[in-house]
Amino acid sequence: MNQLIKLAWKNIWRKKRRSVIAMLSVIFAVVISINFRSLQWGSYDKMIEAGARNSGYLQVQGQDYWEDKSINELIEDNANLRNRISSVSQISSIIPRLQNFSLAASESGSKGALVIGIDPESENQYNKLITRLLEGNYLSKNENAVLIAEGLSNYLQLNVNDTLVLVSQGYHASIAAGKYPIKGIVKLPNPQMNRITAYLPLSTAQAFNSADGMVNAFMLNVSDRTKVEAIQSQLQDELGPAYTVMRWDEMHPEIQQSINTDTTIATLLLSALYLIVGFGIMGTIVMMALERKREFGMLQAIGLQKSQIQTLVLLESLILGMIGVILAWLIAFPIVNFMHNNPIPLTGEGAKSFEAMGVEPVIQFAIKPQLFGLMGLIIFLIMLVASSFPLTMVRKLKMSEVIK
Amino acid sequence: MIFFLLITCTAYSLTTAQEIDPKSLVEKAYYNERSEAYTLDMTIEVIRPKWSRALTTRTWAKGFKYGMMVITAPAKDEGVSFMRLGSEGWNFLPSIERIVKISPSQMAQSWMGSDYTNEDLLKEASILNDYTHKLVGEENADGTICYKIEATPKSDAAVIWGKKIVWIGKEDLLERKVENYDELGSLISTLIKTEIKEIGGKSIATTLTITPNNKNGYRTVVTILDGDFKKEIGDYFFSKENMRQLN
Repeated sequence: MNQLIKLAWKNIWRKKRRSVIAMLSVIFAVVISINFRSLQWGSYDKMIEAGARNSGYLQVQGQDYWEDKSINELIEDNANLRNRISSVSQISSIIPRLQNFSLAASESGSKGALVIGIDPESENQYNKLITRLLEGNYLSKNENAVLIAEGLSNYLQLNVNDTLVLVSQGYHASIAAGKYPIKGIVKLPNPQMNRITAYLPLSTAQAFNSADGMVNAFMLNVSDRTKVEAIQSQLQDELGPAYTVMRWDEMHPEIQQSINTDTTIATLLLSALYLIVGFGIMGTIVMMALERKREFGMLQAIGLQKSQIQTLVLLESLILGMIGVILAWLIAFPIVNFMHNNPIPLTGEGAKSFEAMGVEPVIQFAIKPQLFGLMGLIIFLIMLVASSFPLTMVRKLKMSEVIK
Repeated sequence: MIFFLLITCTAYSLTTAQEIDPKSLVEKAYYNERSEAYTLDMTIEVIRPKWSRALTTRTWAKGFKYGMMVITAPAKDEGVSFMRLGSEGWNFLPSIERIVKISPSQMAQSWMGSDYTNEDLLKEASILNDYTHKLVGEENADGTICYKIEATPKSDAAVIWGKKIVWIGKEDLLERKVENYDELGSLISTLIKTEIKEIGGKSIATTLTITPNNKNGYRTVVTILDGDFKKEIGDYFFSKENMRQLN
């Protein structure tokens, strides 16, 4: 076997130019596709992150909440429930929320607003709300004050220290009305949220909605996003049917759908690329085999088994592919890594289209080891398929004919 | 020729006079549960499949034009008041010290989360003025023989219903049941008036149950606890200033 590997290695370098061209085409295909998919994965990550920022990767709700998101379907925020949630491993934080639609009014007008009761500390740990502050200060616990989004403050012409009036229907048809000094103005990346959001400290929101000690959902952050499905079913088992545990992609099906569409397009494009590269490689390998008919006959004549010759041919193409893939990885990784650590901020129209989807306008590559693996596997398969011709040829080879 | 016309007209009015005029029935039923000026104390219970909530209120009303209501319990909503002048409404919320006008677009919306719409409460004499009435028969409602009257809105009336069917007790001329239909003719809600009792000098139905159609377990029950139908209330009482001081 060792000898065969040595022999294969030597054979590859017998026709340097041809081997190098085959390798280059492998490198080209792998580098391009890794970079392309890393770029796409990067933007998927941004989209998921943007969605999860407002919902958590998982959410615990009352069993009927999601259907009409009614303020009447609340759950009690107590230590027992929190303990049961955190008993499931991999849940890294529990962020309570109590949200309700409301009419927000100032001297100059009124507008529908989404009033979100937040625990200022855990909310900030989760989505760094404090970094979104344009003016004023962040909320502190139990305080009677409100943080409003930039768009809402512009529409109502309100600034820090002005008073925001909120009127709505609270828990169980109670009257929800209150006035709150504006403590700060935040700019939210999602343009729709930026127009309608007002944050109250949780206890203040509970008093506003007459829903003491209640929340409509716990947003959950998880330590490993890829395991979110397993965590979901584990948590659902733990909590029982009185609660619903939802995943981000169930709460934001549009994100998963656009990822799926995008992935399909990318798969088609990359398939075309691999098809072209694959035929190129196949051509090289077929040529290599054809012009070595006589050589194979000779090898057989000096005592090599047909199976040994076949192994040799296979080894040649696999080594060729492997060198190509490894070189491609070595080239692709620094690029991906660089683009991951140095995201390109977008400006102008391009940025607007990102913002319209609520996504941070940057181009950032994602580092996905499975992507490197997948591209290597594709090349491996191409090499196997390409080798099938020389393998059959060797099997059918008649020594007496070829070495005449 | 004129003489002939007069005769036919008289003959026509004679024949209709013999029949029962549905409009006057509705009118009588309307005045049988009201007076020129009156107050009512009532509880309003909003019942939902999973919860219910009760409010205690006091109401003042005068003529077609004026109405005022203040919530007296629960404590959190105490002092919240509503005022009606003609078909316009206002709402005073003590916690924000503001009077909010109820806009025309809110007419079909629920009042305080109940099964009443704002229009039900604001368009006081709507059933008299905005509808034409037709007697369609007699029917038993709540164990009483009733006139069944169909009320169709006049073409220029700004109302949210497409049709109302009203049952009025034949004996006492009290409204027993009202069905509200939308413009496509499907039933939206049913109001049933029961427990006829002597309140403040009048015999009126004291339990009013409104049930929306197709919504299982939803209803709103108004119970009239007390009232005074001989009250004298000055017009000045119905003012925005007074809304703030009812408590």
